[in-house]
This record gives sequence, structure tokens and C-alpha cells, in this order.
Amino acid sequence: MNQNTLPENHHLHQPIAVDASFSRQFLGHCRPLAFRTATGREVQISEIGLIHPKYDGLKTIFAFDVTDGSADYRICLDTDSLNWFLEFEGDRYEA
Amino acid sequence: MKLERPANHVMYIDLNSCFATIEQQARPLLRNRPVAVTNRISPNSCIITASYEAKARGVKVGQRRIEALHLCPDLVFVEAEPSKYIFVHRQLRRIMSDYSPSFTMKSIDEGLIDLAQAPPKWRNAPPAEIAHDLKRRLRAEIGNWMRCNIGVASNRFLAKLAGELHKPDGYDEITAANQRQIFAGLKLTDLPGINLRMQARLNAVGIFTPLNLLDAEESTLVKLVCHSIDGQKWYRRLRGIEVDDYLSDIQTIGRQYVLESRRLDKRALEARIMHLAEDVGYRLRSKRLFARGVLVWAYDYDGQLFRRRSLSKTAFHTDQDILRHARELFADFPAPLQIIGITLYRIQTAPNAQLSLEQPRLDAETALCQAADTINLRFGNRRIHFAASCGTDHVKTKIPFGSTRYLDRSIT
Repeated sequence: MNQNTLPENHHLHQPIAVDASFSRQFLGHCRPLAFRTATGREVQISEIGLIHPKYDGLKTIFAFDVTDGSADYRICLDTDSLNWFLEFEGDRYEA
Repeated sequence: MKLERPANHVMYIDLNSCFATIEQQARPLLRNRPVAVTNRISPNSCIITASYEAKARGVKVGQRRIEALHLCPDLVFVEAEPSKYIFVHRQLRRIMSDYSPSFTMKSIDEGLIDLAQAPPKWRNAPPAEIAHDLKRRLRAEIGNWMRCNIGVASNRFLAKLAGELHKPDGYDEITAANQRQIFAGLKLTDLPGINLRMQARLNAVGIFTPLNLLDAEESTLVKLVCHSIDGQKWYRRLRGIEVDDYLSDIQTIGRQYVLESRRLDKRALEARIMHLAEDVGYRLRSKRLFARGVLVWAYDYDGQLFRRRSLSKTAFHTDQDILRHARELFADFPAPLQIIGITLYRIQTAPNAQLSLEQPRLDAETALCQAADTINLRFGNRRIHFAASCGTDHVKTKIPFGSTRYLDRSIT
């Protein structure tokens, strides 16, 4: 298992396209369903681990720790620009 | 005088293996795997939390990475991420506040609820029902991997002891009826607040078990063990009377850093000292406090401790003043150092009433620090800082283990 980063991590911190649902019934009201990385790879989200805000001065960024069942990812929503980006990809199982 | 034991109304909540559990919550693929959280990923870093799977394999808190990997080769190391833990702390605080307006966070991962002050719905409910509801909400509102231990008793001491009896995800209540039975299965050091030194003092007067301690006369504890009023407090504490519900003022503000290399030159070391000075200075100013004393300390690679302190006649709160003191005190320390720390003491709420001859300089430095604080609050931590601390952005904010005073929005 690789920890924390993959060798090819040039796609990190790049904007990504995200399909998300907004509903009161979901934890945090916003539920990302799938995303497409800067390299065009599509990831179907099977579980959201944790949603937490990170603060950079007065700016709030919502971090969504998610998995597709074979790797963990962190996708972030910048509430200033309303852009999504991929911050982290790790724990890919080889077996 | 017969002491009257109050009804059980104190609920103690402790998140199990907090940081490791939060990492497993955030990253589902880490669940059911041995996980260790460290402040940074390096060969000599120490484990600050281990998951239950890691603990079952012999991994302990405080162990070095290399020792832990020897015991558990497939141990997954994760670098600590304070923003995540602070978020969970705030969620726990919010959930606890729904049961009673009277609650206290004792640290980032533990807190107490006073059910005597709760609204009737919870005040009259059986504690086990409240505990069950709280655990359910923790899983529903933070995540389904979250677990906590809950203990209920008539005071904080016994509630904490109850909360530590069955980990993980336990619930225990200590009452007058079952206390002796529970104490019979414990060692002295299982009791919160009894360390090896205290145990030795108790052994010296013939107290070898928690039951011996419970049966000891008040006069024995006062005169022979504690030599102070602390003996009376222990006597009451063990009988379920509350003696620990006091609020303490801020006495010190400190920060430490484990240096990343033996080969740091004087300038690099000074940059890290400046970084620590900026951190403690900001914490001091964020609480609108002033300090008069600076204590600097360091450990070398042989584990030898060096300490120097200086007490000023005038109170200060600017980074420049803290650095001036710290730089002078650190000057005599022999290199190479492994850990450095700065602690401010003699904390006071007001500046000196008497104006200093250096007032224009002090006013200018205060204005500069306030301007820098305002910019950093608006645009982000360390967006502007002193040139002397350049190149130290890797010196990250540490997890505040003990105090929850700095877990408000402005610090993160």
C-alpha cells in the first residue's frame, strides 16, 4: 500500500469537476457523488469519511475525505471561488 | 462528620484513540488496520496516538517510529492534521451542549457534562439512556466509525475512572453500591492522578491498593501522605464528593519544537526560536494578556535539560520583546539541541500602569504586532511575519493536548 502520495501526483491541487447532490438529509447538506481529475480519470465515490472545514484567514475551504473503495481521496471546495480541487490521493491497495 | 454522597450527575466522555479514530473515520481504507499518528513523518518521530488495532500489536503512545515498525511492520503512519481534530472537538462540544448547558471540555478529546443542570428531559432520564443517545449522535453527526467511552458518577474523579474501565466504546457507572467491587479489581496507578511517585508515598504508609486508599483515615492522608489539604481532597474525592470543579487562570503560555536536524546553524536555530516567539506572542495577544517572564529550555541529544529564565519589571506582549529575551537566554545553550521550547510566565491581564522611558518604542512595536495579527487573521496564518523567522513554515501548529483555550476559530 502506498501511503499519503503516489509518485505521479502532478494532478493534485488542480481543479476537478464534481457531481454533487445538495440535500438536508445528507451530513453537511452537500454530498459529492463522483469527480473527474485534471488527467480525465473518473472516480465514483462510494463513501464519504469526514467533511470538515479548514480556515485560511477568513476564507473557508470544505475538505471532503472520500473513497471509491480502492483509494482514499480528499477533494476540497473553496467557498471563495466555488472551485473544487483534489488535495490528496493515497492508500491505494495493490492487492 | 458523615459526608453525604450526592446522586450520580457527572458524565465523562472520552473519544477512543481520538486522532487515530478520526483518521480511520476520514479514510475508510485505514479502518481495521494498525494506524499510528505522528506530528511529522520522520524516522525518529514519536507516536502521539495509535489505533486499537495497533495497540493490540504492542504499539504504544510515545514510541519511536522505528521501534513501532519493529513490532508491527504493516503499521500505517499518518501525519497529524489538527484542523480535523479541532473540527471533531467542536462537534463533540456541540453535541454535549445539547444535554446540559453546564459542560466542560477537559482536553481536545474529553469532556464532562453536569446532568444536575440539564433540562428536565435529560435530568430525569437514566444516565445509561443519555449515554446511548450521545454515542448514537456521535456516529450519526460525525461518522459511523466514531467511538467514545462514557463514565458516570457523583464527581469528576470517579466519572473519569468509570470512563476508563472498559475501552473502547464502554459505558460504566460508579455508585456507592458498586465502588468497592470496582476498586477491588484495580491497581493504585489505575486511579486518575496517582503516578508512581504518589504510589510510593502511599506504599510508605501501608496503602497498597485502591481499597486500602478508600479505607484510609482522613488524618493519614492529610498528615502522612500529602502533608497538606490535598489529603482532605483525596478523602472526599474517593467518597464521590466534588473537589475538582474549579477553573484555573492561564498561568503559562508555551510552545516547543523538535529540531529536524543536528546540523542547523545558528541562524537557522534563531529562525525557529523566532517562530516559537511569534506563536506564543500571538496566543498571548489573542487572550489580551501580558507576560513578565520568559523561560527557555532545551534538551540535547543525550537527554540533558537546559533551562534559563528572565523576569522583567515591565509586562510585555510583542513578538520583539519575547524574542529579545529568548535570544539572550538561548545564547549559552550548547549545540546541537534536539528540542527547544519557550514558555511565558507571570501572566497578567493588564500592562504596567507606569509608563516606561522606552514607551514610544514599545507603542510602535505593539502597533506593528497588532497590524500583523490583523492581516494574518484576515488572510491566513503566517501570511505576514518577521524576516527573522523566514524559512520555518514547516514548523506547523501543534495539537493543543492539554488546554482547550486555543481551540477557537482565531487560532486555527
